[in-house]
Amino acid sequence: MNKRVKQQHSETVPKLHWTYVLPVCLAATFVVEVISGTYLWLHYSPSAYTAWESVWHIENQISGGQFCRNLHHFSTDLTIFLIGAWLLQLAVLSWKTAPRKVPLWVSLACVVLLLALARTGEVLPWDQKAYSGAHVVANIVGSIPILGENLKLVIMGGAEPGHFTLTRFTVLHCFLLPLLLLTATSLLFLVKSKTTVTQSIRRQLPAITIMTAVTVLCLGMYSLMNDTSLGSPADQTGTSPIARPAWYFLPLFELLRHVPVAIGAYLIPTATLILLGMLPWIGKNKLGRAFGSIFAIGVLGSACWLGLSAYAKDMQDIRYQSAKVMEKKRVERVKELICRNGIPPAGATEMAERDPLLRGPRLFAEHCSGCHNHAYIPAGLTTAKTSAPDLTQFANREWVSAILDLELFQSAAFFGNTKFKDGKMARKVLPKISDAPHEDLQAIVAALSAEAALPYQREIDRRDEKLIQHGKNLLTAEYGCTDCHQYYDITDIDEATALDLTGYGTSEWLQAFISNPKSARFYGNKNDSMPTFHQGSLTTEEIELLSAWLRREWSGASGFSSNADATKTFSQTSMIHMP
Amino acid sequence: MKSKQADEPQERRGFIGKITGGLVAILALFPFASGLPALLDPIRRKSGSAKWMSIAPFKSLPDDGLPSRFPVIANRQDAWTTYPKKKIGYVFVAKEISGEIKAYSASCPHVGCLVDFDKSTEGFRCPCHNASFAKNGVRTGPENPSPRDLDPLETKVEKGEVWVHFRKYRLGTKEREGIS
Ligand code: FES
Repeated sequence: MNKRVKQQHSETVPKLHWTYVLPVCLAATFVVEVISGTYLWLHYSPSAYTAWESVWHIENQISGGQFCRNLHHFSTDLTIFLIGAWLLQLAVLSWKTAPRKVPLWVSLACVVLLLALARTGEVLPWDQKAYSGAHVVANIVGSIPILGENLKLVIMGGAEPGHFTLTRFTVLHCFLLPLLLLTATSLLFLVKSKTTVTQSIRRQLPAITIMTAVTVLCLGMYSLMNDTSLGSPADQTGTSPIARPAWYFLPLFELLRHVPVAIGAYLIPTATLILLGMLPWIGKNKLGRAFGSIFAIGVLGSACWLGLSAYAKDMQDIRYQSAKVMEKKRVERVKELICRNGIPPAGATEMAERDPLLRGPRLFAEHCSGCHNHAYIPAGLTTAKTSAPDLTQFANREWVSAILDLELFQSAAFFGNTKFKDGKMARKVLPKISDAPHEDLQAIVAALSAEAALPYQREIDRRDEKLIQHGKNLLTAEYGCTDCHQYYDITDIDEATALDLTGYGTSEWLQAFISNPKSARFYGNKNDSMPTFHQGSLTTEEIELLSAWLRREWSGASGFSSNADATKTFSQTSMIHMP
Repeated sequence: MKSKQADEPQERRGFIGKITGGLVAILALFPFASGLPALLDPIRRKSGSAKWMSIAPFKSLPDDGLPSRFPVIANRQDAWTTYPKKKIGYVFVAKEISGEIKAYSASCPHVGCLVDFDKSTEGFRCPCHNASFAKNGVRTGPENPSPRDLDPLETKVEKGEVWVHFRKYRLGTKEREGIS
C-alpha cells in the first residue's frame, strides 16, 4: 500500500514540500480540537456550581466522555507544540529568505489566538487550579494602567471570579476565539488565488491524507492511554498553593518571578511579537536575516529555558510538592464522596466544605501546623520546629501512652518545646507513672483513652470494660491525677489546676478546648501558646469539622462515622439551596 | 437640457444610495450596540466596596506578636447567587508586643496569590512567584517580584472586637491604589 502511494506520488504529483508538513498536521489537530470540543460543549454547564460538576460527569459518567476530554486536552497540547515548531521552522528558514508578510502575520496571530484559546479553556473545568488561574489572569489584566480595572471587570464579569467568568470564558473559548482563528487563517487563502489553492491541495491530497491520518491516529492512541485529571473543586476563597499554569505558560510564569508585571506580561511579549512581525522588512539584507533568525530562535530558546527552570524550581519546592500531595488526597476523597452520595444540588464545593476529611486537614494546615504535626499533612506544610504535641491519632491508646511516657513527653514531638516540659507533670507525675507496674500503666492508658469515646476504638473499649474501670480507680486513687485534674465530680473546678480529664478527647471536649484553651476548665492562665480559636480565625462549624477529623469521624473508607454527624452534614448540604 | 435631466436622477441616486448605506450601517451596528450595556454591566456593579469588618475578639489574638491569618466573613454575591456568610477573603492580624494591632491584606501585591505566614522563619512567603516579606510586611530578599510591601489595613478595637478596614488595592503596581 505504502509503495503504491509512493509510486503514484512520484509519478503524478509533485512531492509535498516538507515545509508544509507542520501546517497540515496543525490543521488536522485543530480540527480534532474543534470536533471534540463541540462534543464536550454539549455536556458542559458554565456556572460556579455546575462547571466542575458537569466536567466530573463528563469524565466519569458519560460513555466516552473521558476519551473526548482527553482528545480535546491533548490536541491542545499538540497544537501549541506544533505552532512552536512551526515558528522554529520559520526562524530557521528565514536565514536564507525573509518570511513573506501575510503567512508570517497569520502564524503570529495563530500563536496568540491558540494561547488565548488554551488559557480560556483551562478555566472552564473550575477546579482549584483553574480558579486560581482565573484569579491571577484577572489581576494581571487589572494591572494595566487606567483601563485595567474596568477591562478586568468586563472580562471576568465581576470583581471576583464567579458565574459570569465562566459564561464569558465559555463564549470566548467556544465561539469568539475560534471565529477569529478561522478568519485569520482564511486570510491565507485570500493571498493566493482560490484555484491554485484547490489545485495544489488536490494534487497533494494523498500526502495530506496520510499526514492527517497519522496525526489523528497518534492523538487517538495517546488519548486512549492517558487520562486528563480534573482537580478538586475550587473552594472559591482565593488562590491555592498549587496554582501553576499549563506547561506552555510556564515561561511567562517564570518571567514574572524576575521582572515587574507590566514588563513580563505585556512589554516583553508585545515587543517580541512586533519584532517578529517585522521580519519581512528586517530580512531584506543578509545581516537582517541573520539577526531575524537568531532573534526568533533566541525567543523560543529562552522560553524553553524559562519553562524548564520554573519546572526545576517546583521540583525542589517542598511546600509546592506537599501541596500537590494534599491535592491528590483531596481528589480521591471527593471521588469517594461522590460515589457514595452523588453530587448535591449546591455543588461539589459545598459538599467538600462540609466533609471532615476534606476540610479538616486544610484547617489543620492553615491554623495548627505552625506548632503541631500530624502524619496526614505532608512534611512541607508543617513546621520543622514543632512546639506542641503531635496530633496523629489524637487520644487513642498509643497516643495516650506516648504522652504518659516521660521521655516522649519531653521530646519535641510532644511538649519538648513548651513550658510544660519541666512542669509539674514532667517533674512529679510522669516519673511515678513510668515506675508503675506494666498492668497499671495499661489500665490508666485504656481508661484515659476511653474517655474520648473514639469511634474507632469502640470495640476494644467495650471489650476492656474491666480494665478501664480499674484504670479509672487508679487515676483517682493511687496516682493522684485528680489532685490537679478535674475528673467528674471528684475534683472541684475551682481547685483543679490542670486540664479537665472528664470526657478527655470527646467531640464536646475537643471543640471546647480548641475554642478556648485558656478557660478555667483547661489550661487557664497556665496556657503556653495555644491560641483561642473561638469566634476568631475558626468558625464554630470549622471547629466541629477539625475535631471530627482529629477523631477520625468521617464517613467512608478509613473513617469511622460513629454518629449521625456525617449524614447530617450531608443532608444539610443538599438542602442548602432549596427554598 | 437632456444631459441635465440625465444627471439629476443619477445624483439623486447617489445621494439616496449614501443614505441607505448609512442606514444599513447603523442598523448593522444596532445589535452590537444594544448589547453593550449588558457587556459593560460589571463595571457598574463594581460593588465589593471597602468596609469595616469585625475579625476576631481582641482576646483571641496570640500574644507572641506574630501575625495570624483570619478569614473575612460576609455575604457573597456572585451574579444571581447569594452565598450567606461566606469567606470573602483573608487578612493577617498581629498584636505587636507593644499592644498595637497591625493588619495586612493576605493578597500578594504582585498578582494576588494568597501569602502564607511561616512561623519558623517569622516571615510571609508567596507560593506563586516566591515573594517574601518580613513579619511587618516589608519586602525581604534580594530578588523579590512584589512591586511593593504587603498592603496594610486600618484597624480598630471596639467592644473587645478587632475590626479591620477590609479593602482591595490594585495589584502589580508600585503605588498603592485603592480599587474598593
Ligand atoms: S503573586 Fe505573590 S509572588 Fe507573584
